Amino acid sequence: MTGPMPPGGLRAMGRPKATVRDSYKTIKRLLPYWGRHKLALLGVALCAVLSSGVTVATPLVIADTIDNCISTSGGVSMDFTSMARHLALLFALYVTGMAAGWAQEIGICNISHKVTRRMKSDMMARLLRLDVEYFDTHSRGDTLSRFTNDAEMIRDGMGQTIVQMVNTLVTMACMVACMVAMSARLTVLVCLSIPLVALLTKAVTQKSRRLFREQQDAAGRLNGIIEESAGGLLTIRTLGAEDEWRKKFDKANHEMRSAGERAQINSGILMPMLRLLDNSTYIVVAVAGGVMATSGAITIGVIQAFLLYTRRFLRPVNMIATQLNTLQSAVAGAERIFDMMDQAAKVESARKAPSSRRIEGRVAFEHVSFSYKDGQEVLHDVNLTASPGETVAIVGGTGAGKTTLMNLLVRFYDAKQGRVTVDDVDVRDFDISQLRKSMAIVLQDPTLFGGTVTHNISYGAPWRKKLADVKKSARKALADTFIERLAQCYDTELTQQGNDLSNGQRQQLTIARAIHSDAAILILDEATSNIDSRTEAQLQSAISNMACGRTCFIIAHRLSTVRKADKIVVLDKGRVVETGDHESLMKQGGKYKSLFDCQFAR
Amino acid sequence: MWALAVLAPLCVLIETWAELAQPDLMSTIVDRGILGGERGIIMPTGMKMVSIIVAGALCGLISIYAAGRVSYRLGADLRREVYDRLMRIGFEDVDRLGTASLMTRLGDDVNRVQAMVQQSMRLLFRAPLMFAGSVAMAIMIDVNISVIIICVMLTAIAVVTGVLRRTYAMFVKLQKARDRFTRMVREILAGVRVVKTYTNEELEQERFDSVNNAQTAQSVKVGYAMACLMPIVSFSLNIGTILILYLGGGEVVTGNISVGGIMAAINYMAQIQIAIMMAQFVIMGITQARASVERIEEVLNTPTEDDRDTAGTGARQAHFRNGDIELRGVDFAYAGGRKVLDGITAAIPCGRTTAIIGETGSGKTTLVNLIAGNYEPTSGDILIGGTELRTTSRRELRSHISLAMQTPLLFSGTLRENLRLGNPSATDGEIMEAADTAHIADYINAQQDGLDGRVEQGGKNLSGGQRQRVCLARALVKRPDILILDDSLSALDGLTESDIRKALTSLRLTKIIVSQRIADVRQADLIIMLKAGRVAATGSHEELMRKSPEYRETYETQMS
Repeated sequence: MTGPMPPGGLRAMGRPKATVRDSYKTIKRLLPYWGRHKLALLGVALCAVLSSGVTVATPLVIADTIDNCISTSGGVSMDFTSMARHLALLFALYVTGMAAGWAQEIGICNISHKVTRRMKSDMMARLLRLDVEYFDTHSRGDTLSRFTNDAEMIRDGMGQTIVQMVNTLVTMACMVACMVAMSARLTVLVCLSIPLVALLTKAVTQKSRRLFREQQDAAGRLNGIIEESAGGLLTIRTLGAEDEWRKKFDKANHEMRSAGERAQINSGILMPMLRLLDNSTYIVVAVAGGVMATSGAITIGVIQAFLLYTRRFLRPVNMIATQLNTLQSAVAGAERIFDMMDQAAKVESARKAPSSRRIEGRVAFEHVSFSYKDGQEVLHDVNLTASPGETVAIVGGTGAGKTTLMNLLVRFYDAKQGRVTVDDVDVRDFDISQLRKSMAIVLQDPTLFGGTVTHNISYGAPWRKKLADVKKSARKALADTFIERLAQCYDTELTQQGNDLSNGQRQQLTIARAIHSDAAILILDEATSNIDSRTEAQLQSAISNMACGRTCFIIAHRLSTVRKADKIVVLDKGRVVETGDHESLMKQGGKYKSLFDCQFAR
Repeated sequence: MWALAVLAPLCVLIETWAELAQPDLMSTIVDRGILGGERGIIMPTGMKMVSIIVAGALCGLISIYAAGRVSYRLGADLRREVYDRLMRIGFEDVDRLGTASLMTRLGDDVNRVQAMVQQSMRLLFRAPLMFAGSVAMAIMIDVNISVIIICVMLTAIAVVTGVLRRTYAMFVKLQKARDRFTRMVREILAGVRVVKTYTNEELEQERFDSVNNAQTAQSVKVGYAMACLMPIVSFSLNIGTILILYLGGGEVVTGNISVGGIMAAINYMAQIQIAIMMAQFVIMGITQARASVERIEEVLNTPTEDDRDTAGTGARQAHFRNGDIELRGVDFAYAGGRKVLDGITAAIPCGRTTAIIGETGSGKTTLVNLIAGNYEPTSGDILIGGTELRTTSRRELRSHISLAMQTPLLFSGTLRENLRLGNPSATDGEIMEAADTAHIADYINAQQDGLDGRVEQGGKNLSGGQRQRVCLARALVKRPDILILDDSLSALDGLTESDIRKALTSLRLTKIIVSQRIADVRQADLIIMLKAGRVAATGSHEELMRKSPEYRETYETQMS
């Protein structure tokens, strides 16, 4: 069931300039996902502390080895016992470092995967609860991109960051302590670079945020085009429109490329610049250390240690800087995901307590008016009733509002004026699941899902999966003959494209699905338009049986199916123009008669 | 672009050399400046170091820029090639590969290759250079020590290679899991109305979760395998450091090397460690990308329809325009399925209206898809104007045929874009003319933006009947020689439908109408009745009423 466009269209691409505050907000929303693994994260942190400790300790040991075991001034002797002890200690440290490093990697891999898995699950949960309006107005490929590209960005961008940050902080703290102990002056020299690093990082990351977001948006748009053309390939190539689509693709591809380049190059600048700072500091230490050593203020071992420390101190600092940058890409991805999850779901969100009463199926439309877009009214002051056991047919020209009427009954959209009631209760006061469970719909386009024939037929009533029941429903829809001719009969796997079955056969399966769900209110929207008349005629009795005792709405153009309806409602441009049964309407000689005559008098 | 591609490694070379030179200069400071007492040498050496690192940083910037541009350009080009391929391979192959998988290949797989190229350009040259450089320097210090370094390096490399080889199969599996994930999400997005109607949100959530879990599990396996690499490699290098200290100590005693030399050797070891880790990243990236490369290659190596067409094009136009369509013993089955068409033999006269009717599943849509060149008969021939379709370029064939399908598909964009899809050079006048025939002109004019009116993906913002009429207009704008309507007026009410049919009769082209209803096809010059994939009867309405009991029966049913 579809209709003219709801307001909003595809979302505008312009965005306000993102601020650092926004980043914090987004990160705060991400924290609970990581928070669930507090213990594991603690374990990872401990391993990080351990491996950092090793990183800090080893230069000390090496320095000590050089000073005490080798560098004996003047004499050339080596204290082998001392050397052995030092080396044994070094070995122990290295083993510990390796184990801790490994545990850390495993831990964070595990945790970050769990986080993304949960996020994707939450995303799907939210998606399934969004209004139909969202699906009608957003590109499928772009939404898909959020599940793939954006979610993975979060995993890759945040996981390693956390680990490295802990590593860095611990390492830095220990190293500073050791360095100060060895030589306060050299330490100051080394630490001079930190504010410079901070400034540089801030400048780059602020820009990164925006550029990463642009890159992800461009990726989403490109994905949208890919999805649309892959899904509509037969149509596109039958039309010979390959070149048109190539042009569209090229444009989006190019945009993605430039956005990507900009983002990457901007981030990429950070590393060389940091390395420059890194190396400069190294030189400063070397020179200053050299000078201090010649004056005897420090030992050579200390210089060696300091040189090693400088390398190892600044590298983590650099890494934090680059990781902060990568974090921006994670934030960009998270933003897009939260944007989707924050969509208002006006219709779907109304969860009421289910009532214990069974729905009988009395339906009434009271002064219902509706428009998808302001100013383009699709339904105007429609009044209509249907009682349980009554079959109501809705006919009218294309675009007269027939499907829209049913959209309101199922609550894909809500009426702008007036109300729709079921059993004298406004549909908005029902628990939406309970309301929909009381209805079974067959749409114009047969939609099936990946799964077996049994799965699809029992889709509306998954608790009734017994083969005998499923076969009964299939038989009623006259589908059993062709199902049994399939390779695995009822266990045959269907695909959404399903070349094994013709359109009409797929439609018969959706009818079987409706029959199987045993609902109080039936809605058949052009259910048999794709089915040949002979099968249709036979289905008629099945549908009549199905409709027995239930409220049944039939939207059809083939008036032959409509003739036997208890009540026929004729819509014209959103208004009810005629109501009555076949005989009385023919006698009236109005719109219905002309539609009918036209169909049969050729 | 090539300039950049060469520039990047060059810059990396310089950058690396800059890094390599440092420990040596450092050892100069220690040995000569401090221990040797040549104080005067400390500052100049320091200045030398400064100039070297500035050069290194500049080169670093250039290489980042170059790597970024080259890799993204490559990624974009690769993506384009795959997309182009998608537009040219046969539908049998599209069905075989699957839409979701094709999307993953266009998206995720290309991204991986791109990332790999970018990373490689920045790091790939660095690593071997640092090895070579460090080893060279180490040899100059002391041969024995350099032996240690080389052995350790080789061990590390062996470990890395071994682990990565075993993980390749995992990467392939991972990409397949991604395919399934994509398919699942698409299915839900496309079928959301049905999901909601049957209140199966929870069911779909469960199904999604199981696919999600499967993909995550596979990805974690890969991650675990990768996690082993770093610790093992670091450890082996650290052992090297220990050995250097031990052996080096001995050497200092014997006077073969200086203390500064040992320090330099240890520093080089540290640099090698970093280099190996870099190489590791790169090799990991390459291995991961390899799986993606193969998947992409699979698409690029799939023969296009042009490849399959054996003959050249030549002067076919006249044949299409003036030729009868002949079907000779046409059989067809979809890949691995039952026969849908069996020995179809019929002749569809040029310039006339031919109707194909039959029950649901009798093969009507399949037959017109064959005539339109979307699929090829498994046996038998289809000829147009005496030319076998088998030897004709399918694309050329399609340019003469308009097929309005049962389920009309519109694309996001404007009405004009949609209507012009088959004929991009059509003027607004031509478009509105076709719209008139299709009785959709009123709808277009009622839009605030007229032909610039918005169409959402799938045409969701139009009613079923409006979509069908737009699609019909689209088919007409193309100005085909052969117009095929596959039950494409089914969503229209009787009045509109008959008006449209009347408008269509005035068009001079070969018309093939697939329908269920005899009322629609009565006027056709020729009616072909299909039953279970075979031709049950052919003739005009009157002839069929006389000779075919099945036809009569259908007529009775419909008219009552």
